[in-house]
Amino acid sequence: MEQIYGRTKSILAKPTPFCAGCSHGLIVKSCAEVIDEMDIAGRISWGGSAGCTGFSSFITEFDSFNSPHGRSPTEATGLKRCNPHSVVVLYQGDGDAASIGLGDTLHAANRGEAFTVLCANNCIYGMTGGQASATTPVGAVTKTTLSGCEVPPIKLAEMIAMLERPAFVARCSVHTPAAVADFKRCFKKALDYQMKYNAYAYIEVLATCVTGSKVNPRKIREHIERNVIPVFPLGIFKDTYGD
Amino acid sequence: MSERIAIKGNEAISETAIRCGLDFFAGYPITPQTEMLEYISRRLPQEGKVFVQAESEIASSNMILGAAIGGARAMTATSGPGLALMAEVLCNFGIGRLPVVLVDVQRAFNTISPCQSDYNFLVKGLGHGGTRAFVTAPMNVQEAVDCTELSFEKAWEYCVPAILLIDGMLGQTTEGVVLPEKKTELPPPKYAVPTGRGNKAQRTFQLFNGNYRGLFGEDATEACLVDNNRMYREWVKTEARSASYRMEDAEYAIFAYGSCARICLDVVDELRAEGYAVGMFRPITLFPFPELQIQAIHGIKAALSVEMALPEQFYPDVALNLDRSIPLYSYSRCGGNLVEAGDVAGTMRKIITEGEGR
Repeated sequence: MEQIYGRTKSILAKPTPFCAGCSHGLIVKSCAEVIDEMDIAGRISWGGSAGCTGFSSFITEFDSFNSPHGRSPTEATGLKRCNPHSVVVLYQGDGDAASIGLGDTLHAANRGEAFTVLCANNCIYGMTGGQASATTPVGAVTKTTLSGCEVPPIKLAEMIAMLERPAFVARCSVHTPAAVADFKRCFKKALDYQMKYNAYAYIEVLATCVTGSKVNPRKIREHIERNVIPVFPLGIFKDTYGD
Repeated sequence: MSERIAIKGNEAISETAIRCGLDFFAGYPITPQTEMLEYISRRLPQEGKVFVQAESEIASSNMILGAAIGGARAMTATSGPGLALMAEVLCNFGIGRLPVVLVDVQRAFNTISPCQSDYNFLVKGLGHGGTRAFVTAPMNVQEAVDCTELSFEKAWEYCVPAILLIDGMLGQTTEGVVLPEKKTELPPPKYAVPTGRGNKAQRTFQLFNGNYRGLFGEDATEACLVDNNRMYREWVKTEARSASYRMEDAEYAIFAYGSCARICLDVVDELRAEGYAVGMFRPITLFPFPELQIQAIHGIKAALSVEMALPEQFYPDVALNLDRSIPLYSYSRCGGNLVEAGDVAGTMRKIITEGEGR
């Protein structure tokens, strides 16, 4: 019998380190599928960071490195500038990219570093148990905002799209099969732009922390559509080359 | 070519680093280091290598971390306030056993004047966690050139951070030096580089592919620290460097390092001219501290530790190793004020004639 679907080559046959219902598993798997379809797994240098995104290297075959919290784009600047042949993908959370690492994120984008940044935005600090982050929407209840978050969320995709050098900036999600397909198309384009034009790309992927945000995994689609997309609209904010 | 040239300390160190195969430099302007940044920004691209001016020292330190993980010979330079911002990354170099060269051109807090007050920070444990670096403290520009060469050699031999601890005075001093020849044979990294070249390398600080020598979690971290500590103790026996000035027949000894030791050369000569048998012992490596060499000093009637820091940072290490029967005093200037030879000589004279020096 011909096998028409299976675990993609770069995902290891290991138990997932993520909570049941977590978006990370789906996002990382989707990335691995794109990379394997493009047959570039051997060139990948995958940068995880603090928080649950750091687990992504546990289940992937790619060469990988870790950074101090928030510093992935800065560390990757050194690594990629000295290794231009590597295809560098950074996998960060919103706490990492928009809170502690806001400066790192914007400066690397502004310099137009030749790597692809993915920010899995679940609007919370998941690893530490569910505290508010820089992208937590106003009114959201978290462990440190029991009466509802007061500070407006930072919208990284919109901010990065204003800079001159980023070549591709988008916000995607993985809450429906169609959304997953859109994300994979965007991720492929980002990798193409890195390899073809040495260009910087940023893709924010809306995610859900079922444990930290206390969202019922069966209600994720509703949660994303009702609570998150109105605050963080999906779309392609910048596409310099239009390939 | 072994021609002797006149060159400023900061620039001599920079040119030496480039001749030692520097691949990547990231830095941020800070007095009294800035000439290094400017010199390297001009020279490094001439060699086809990478210079980046970072947006902060948090960024410059993380950039060199990435470069080192990627197998490149990396370096940065800063002063005290910038060094403080690098603490997290220095810890990662120490625990992750990655080679890098760092130059600290010390200044006193918000003054831009020289001091020796980053000793504890760099010698007693980098950042959080207490890991160590190979630390040298040159006394003049030629020695700074030699210590730069040594730093690159030791960083790559042991996979550790190697730190050159100087100060604003040495950084700004112009002297005649002989620079080393450009190195043509540079050993490759001793660790797998996770840059997608079929190395199958996954690097999480001290863990390779999720483990340290087959161990995980706390066991892995402990094993790593045990290995590091064994190396540090071995260094005391094999890598400690120091120098003595007129110690052969000395009855009184001065302990000092770096620019302070340079100033104290005059103190020794001044007191010798008055008939006092004074000598000076100066560490060149601060880590490993020349414990064995100091422990071997006997027959001295009194000693004076001199440094530009208060509370004392260097004095406790001297006290820990010097024969307890020798009275040890300390003298400090700080806040950006240099020790002055006349004042140190006066203090030493008082110790010799009256037995008082504290």
